[in-house]
Amino acid sequence: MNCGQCQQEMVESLAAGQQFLSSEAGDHVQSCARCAEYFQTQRELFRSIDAGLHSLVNQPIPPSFLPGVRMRLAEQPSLAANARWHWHITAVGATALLAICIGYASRKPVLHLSSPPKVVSSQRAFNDSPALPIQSAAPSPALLHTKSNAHRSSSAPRPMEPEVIVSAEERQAFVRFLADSPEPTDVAVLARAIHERGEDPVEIGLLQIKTLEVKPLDETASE
Amino acid sequence: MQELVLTRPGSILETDSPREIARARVLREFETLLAECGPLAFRVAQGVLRNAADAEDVAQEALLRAYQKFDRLRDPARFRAWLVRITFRMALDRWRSRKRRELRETEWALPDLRPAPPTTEEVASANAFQLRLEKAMAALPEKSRLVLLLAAIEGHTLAEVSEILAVPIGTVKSRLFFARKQLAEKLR
Repeated sequence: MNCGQCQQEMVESLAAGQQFLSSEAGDHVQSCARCAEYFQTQRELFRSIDAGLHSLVNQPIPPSFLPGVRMRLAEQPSLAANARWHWHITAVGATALLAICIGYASRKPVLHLSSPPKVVSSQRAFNDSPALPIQSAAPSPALLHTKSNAHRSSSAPRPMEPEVIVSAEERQAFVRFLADSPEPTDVAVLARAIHERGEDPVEIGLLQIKTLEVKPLDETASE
Repeated sequence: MQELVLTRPGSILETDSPREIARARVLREFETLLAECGPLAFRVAQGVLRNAADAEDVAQEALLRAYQKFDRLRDPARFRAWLVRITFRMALDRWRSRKRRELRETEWALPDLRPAPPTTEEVASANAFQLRLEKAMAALPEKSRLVLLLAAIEGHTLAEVSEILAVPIGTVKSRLFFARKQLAEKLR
């Protein structure tokens, strides 16, 4: 064992809290004055570190410490009060969230409660097949009214009457679907309003069909 | 003339709400733990802050925080470990803010007002070694520092340190070994 290895072992032994060296390192220290001196220096250093740490953390506790904690504890509101307060905050938050959810869920696109609806197809499509009226017993249905057909119905003879505009390609299938459906018919309608500048968001609403009358779409600029 | 008032035993308890009774029970339980673990909190804070007044303040705040969240502690046997972690974290925060403040003040202070460099006699004194030790400690990683502090606290065995930190005893030994080695290198 050379001096370097011996000194490294010394440091590691002392860092591990051992005060004695292995027999091999001990023999080297016996025969090497420099390593013996190094060992003494390092042992002193670790003793000083231990003493310094000990004096750092083992200082006497100030007499005011525990009474101070008790005094501050006495000023604290009770845990139950804290818990109650937290519960109140949680309850208010949950109620607000619930209200928002209910409001959002019950939000519908503009709905009309008015006279029976009629299905209107484009002029070109209407010329392909005759009108197919479907009668229903129930009165006053709610009908989905999209931005698109609101715009179009503004020029219709009866502007307040709800209308569903079906594109020419889908008119036949839609009429067949309505003819086969039992009455009164609730149909979930997915409507996409198309404007000149692009597409509006898709809107989903409930269409209850009571009476169906297929008629040509009035001549409007949008058509 | 004396006036006698007769009270029915237990009437006070009957009028107390269950909430108050529960609070009194929690307070009693906490009081027991406070007497047992309060000094440990102070020592951990002292080990980080090296200032008795600051350590007292931080340890008191840590105990208050522990009390406020006491109902969330599922296992009371873990209170010591929990308190040590809270105190250590709060003490580190305080120590960092103090360092920032000192740095700001030093930067803005006039050169005349700055402390004079230590003399040879001061460096040679034990006090100077303590200062160097504290500085070297502050440069250690947090985990190593906490292990060194806990192991140095009187009466703490390595098994207790391992229990407080919730790490295996081998990990405690290893952290302690590297921390002491690093300290020695810095102080050599």
